[in-house]
Amino acid sequence: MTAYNVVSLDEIERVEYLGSNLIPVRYTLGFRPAGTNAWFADTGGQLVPPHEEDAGSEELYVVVRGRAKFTVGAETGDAPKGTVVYVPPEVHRTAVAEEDGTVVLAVGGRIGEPFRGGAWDSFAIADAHRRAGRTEEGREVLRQARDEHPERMAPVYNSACWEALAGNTDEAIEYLRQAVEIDAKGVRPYLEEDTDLDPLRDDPRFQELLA
Amino acid sequence: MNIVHVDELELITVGDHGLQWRPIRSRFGIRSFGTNAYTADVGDEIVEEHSETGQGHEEMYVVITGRATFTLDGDDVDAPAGTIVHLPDPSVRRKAVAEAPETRVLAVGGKPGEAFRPSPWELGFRGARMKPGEAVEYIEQHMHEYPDAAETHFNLACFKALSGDADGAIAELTRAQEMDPEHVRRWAANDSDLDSIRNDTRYPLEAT
Repeated sequence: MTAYNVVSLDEIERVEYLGSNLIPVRYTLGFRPAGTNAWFADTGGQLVPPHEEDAGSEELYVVVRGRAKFTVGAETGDAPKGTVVYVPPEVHRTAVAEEDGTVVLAVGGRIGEPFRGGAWDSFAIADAHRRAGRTEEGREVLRQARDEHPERMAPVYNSACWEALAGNTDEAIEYLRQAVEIDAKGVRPYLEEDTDLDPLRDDPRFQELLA
Repeated sequence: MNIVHVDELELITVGDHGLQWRPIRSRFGIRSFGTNAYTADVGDEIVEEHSETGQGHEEMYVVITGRATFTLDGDDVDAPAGTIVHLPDPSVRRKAVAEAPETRVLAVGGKPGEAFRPSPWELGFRGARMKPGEAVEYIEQHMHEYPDAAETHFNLACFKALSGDADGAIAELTRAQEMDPEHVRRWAANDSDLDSIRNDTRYPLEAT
């Protein structure tokens, strides 16, 4: 184990995610106690993608640079650097930059459960690698996510999407089979609607999974 | 909305080197990870010298504004605003000093692979700012929110001794000693808070 790591938020490669710029702190450092990421935007840009967390998942946002406008539930708040915003589970939230170069750090966890990485942020990083042509790096991120959550459908399903978009039909179909095995009911709506899977739709093996 | 600027958070001075603790976790009742901010004047301590061996916590410090110098196992590290110092290894001795006005540091931590439970030192740091009798009352009221720890019983022993409750102090010190004899012996050896009970025949520790 490395004794310590020192990194600047400016040095971490940013990743586009749902119309925001993610600074993937947790993955880059291998931080294990909590979900920890940052968001970057210039004036008017979206920092935190609009979303709600599940029951039991709480989040803290800290404005590290610039100025943000937070919307939490029906309220809005002005948040210059040094501001801390706590959002309880299941409350809708988003934030927009009010100054160029605004950075917001987000920390989250599930109450009463150990934190485990390898979720949405890993998928975003794997996608960024794929778009940049770094196929092996992208596969490795997904492999880690599957290892971290062998019981969950999402890492296997996202691996299928990733391989479909990369043009690897055989691998994509195999991951979809595994996803159906883990959670047939849960994966069904995605199989029907997710455009990531369009390259597979004419394949008879895909039709079989849908049947 | 639960929104606050770090400078508006409660300020609790800790130790003798200017460290200003700004509690975040307890302010919002966060239960899934540890997090606090720290502020200090230029030249003062902004992260107390410590290791996380007792708690086994992995930590991350983020310099929000200003500039700090971290000292990590003896290595000095310059940390301007935007720097993250990540300490996966709990045994690393760590401290930091503020190098610029309005330096603010955020800490995030927890034990990997375990559900988070608040750190007992929160009780001790708060209690140290109160009159002994108030500290006893405060800790007894809030200790159920924290894991049952030798540190908490030791702190209670100190505050009870200071408030003249020898019976209570002996009972708490005995409990602490049963839980973690090695640390308690060391803490007790240098703590003048316990002087009023040191000669009590029931004092559970050997003289050092």
